[in-house]
Amino acid sequence: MNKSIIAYNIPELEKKNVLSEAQNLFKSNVLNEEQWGKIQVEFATNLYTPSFTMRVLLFIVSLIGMSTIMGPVGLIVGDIGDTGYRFLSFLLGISLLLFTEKKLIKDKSHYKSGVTEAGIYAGLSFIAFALLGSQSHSLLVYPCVGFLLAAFAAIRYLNLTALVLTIGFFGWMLFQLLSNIGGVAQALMPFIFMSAFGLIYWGSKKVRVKLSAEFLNDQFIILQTISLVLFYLAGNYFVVRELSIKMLGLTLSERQDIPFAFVFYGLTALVPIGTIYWGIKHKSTLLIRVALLTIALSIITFKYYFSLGMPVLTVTVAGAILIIVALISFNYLKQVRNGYTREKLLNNKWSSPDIMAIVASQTLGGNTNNGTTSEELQFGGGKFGGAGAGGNW
Amino acid sequence: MNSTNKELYQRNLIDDRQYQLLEAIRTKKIVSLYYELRLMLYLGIMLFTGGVGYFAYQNIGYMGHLIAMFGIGAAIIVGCYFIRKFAKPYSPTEVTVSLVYFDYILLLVSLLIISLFAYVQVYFDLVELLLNWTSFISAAIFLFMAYRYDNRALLAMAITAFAAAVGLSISPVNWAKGTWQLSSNLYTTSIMLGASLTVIGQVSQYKNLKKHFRFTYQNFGLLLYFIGCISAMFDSDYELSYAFLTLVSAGILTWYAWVHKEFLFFIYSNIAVYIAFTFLAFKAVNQLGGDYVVFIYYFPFTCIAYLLLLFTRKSHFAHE
Repeated sequence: MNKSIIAYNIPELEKKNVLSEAQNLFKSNVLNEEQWGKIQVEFATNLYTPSFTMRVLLFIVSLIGMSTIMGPVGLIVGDIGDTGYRFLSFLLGISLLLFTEKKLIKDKSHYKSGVTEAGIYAGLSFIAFALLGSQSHSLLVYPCVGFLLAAFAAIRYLNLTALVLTIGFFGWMLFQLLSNIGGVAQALMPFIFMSAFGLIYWGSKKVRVKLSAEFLNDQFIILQTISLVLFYLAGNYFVVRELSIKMLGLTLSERQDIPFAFVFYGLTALVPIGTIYWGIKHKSTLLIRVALLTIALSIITFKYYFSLGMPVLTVTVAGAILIIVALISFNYLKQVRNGYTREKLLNNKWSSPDIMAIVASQTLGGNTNNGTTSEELQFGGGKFGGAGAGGNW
Repeated sequence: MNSTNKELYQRNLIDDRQYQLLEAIRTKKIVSLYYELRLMLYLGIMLFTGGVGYFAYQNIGYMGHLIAMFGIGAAIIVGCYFIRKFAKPYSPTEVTVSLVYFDYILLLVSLLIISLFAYVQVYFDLVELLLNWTSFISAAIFLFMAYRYDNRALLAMAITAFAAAVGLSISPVNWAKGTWQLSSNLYTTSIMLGASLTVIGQVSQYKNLKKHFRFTYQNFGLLLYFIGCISAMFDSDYELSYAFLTLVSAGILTWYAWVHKEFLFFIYSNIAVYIAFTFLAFKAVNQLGGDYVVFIYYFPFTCIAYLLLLFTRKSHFAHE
């Protein structure tokens, strides 16, 4: 790997990664205090990362500060016309990026400090404005520009939000390209999407092994999860049908189904089953989590088209089945079986009892209002929470 | 670079036993399904209680109602049996129960009790009579369960139910819709309730009574307080007084949160200070009949100045 691609100092990133892993181990009571103390000394890094909430504050403040800076600058230079403002915006964008990189990252060793993110987003937004201006372009231009800028931020600054955007822009680009070509390309769109994201998943697994850079773990987890979910969605019957009608102008008369409907019914059913099989076989929690999500989506898809007209019963029975399956698994995994356990091995860095408490209070029926009966709200709340909890890994 | 485990092991920072455990996890000899199973259970409880509640809500005939009520009642009794069997005696400190799904049973039973309560109300035509008390009673049940069995999720539900009882809705869902300004004169209620919750949190800490509940109390309390203050600033006839109240109280809180490194509350109070200060600045410019163009300079310069100020003390908020 060419090390100058990444703006940060790689040995420092590696130390930072060891430190955060070790901190997690310490919090999970695997390491004792003495060991944790020694590790903190041995792997001391000069990277500056404030605590999470402060990063949020720094991000908000610097984003407001940096994105409004065009105002005073514009006032000073006066009226310079559309091209002039675009050029100015470009200069501002470049200077914000240079400031972030040279001053914050190189000199002050900021790493994900909130200010760096704000600098990157504001800088790239200015550049995007400069490139696109206010006139309209072909629809393919927007995702291409977005993809290039986001990919730049995702790789050079290891920015996770930019990574998600990169994948999104890639999907948009592919969609636009295929629908511009039309004909066979458009008809094969679901399969092209499936192969593209399948390839991305497979390729990212290979690249991950090859790089063996543990500080990129989060990047790979996000990349693989999103590619898998998109791989599934590309073959999902509901998505294919609705997108064909809404975006590609397919018209269906009553009792008519989309072409090759049985293929998509099959994919909707088989992809989740395949994913959970592979996940359990290869002990990949990532695959298992994606599989749980896609199973839920597939059930919703099938219910949508083959409803028995008893949604309440379905919800109750589904809830009961989930509880029973979970309890049976809890009991079954009392001892370690085939390498699986129900016990928490290490803390998950995303979980905290305080956050759980607030999420639970918002998604479960505590939020009752006067005048409305609580059952109604509990039901509504339950549905909302279901969507949120799916992404909660 | 080696894997982290190997690196730590080679430098003698972890012992054999730890290395083997970590390697087993890394090479997937052992995989934990802790979060997956919990997620399933959580979703299951949500769907099941939601379904049961809604099922009860639909009219299903005379016998159906009784059967449904008995069903819910029976489920509550079974749940209570488990809770009694595994619960530890009350203690003012944090209590951990060995049963892995204890918290979920607790949640399920509490929600079922509320369902049954609502059901009885509708069935016996008590809605009108109890209209104003429903949420209070729900809050009381949640609160009792939260303290008796030491559960923060139930405490958070108790607080939201109580806020609902006095007419406030504290929910990110509303903020997402952009309707986080309070209508009518609810801001006084919001300010009072918010301040009380914050004080209760502080008292819990000093009296050593469920110390770890402090965060939940104060998080809701401060949000209610500041949202009340800011709504009042834009809504009431005494806008200047409210703006000064916000500025001063949020200023004090900023200082307190900074010293005690309560950075989440630091952010809340910072945002409130900034809004109040900007509001007053607007008023001042307006009063002086001045030029609003200063605000083109105001936003970038105040933000950048504040950033520079924060970074003079950057070691104070470095990552622990």
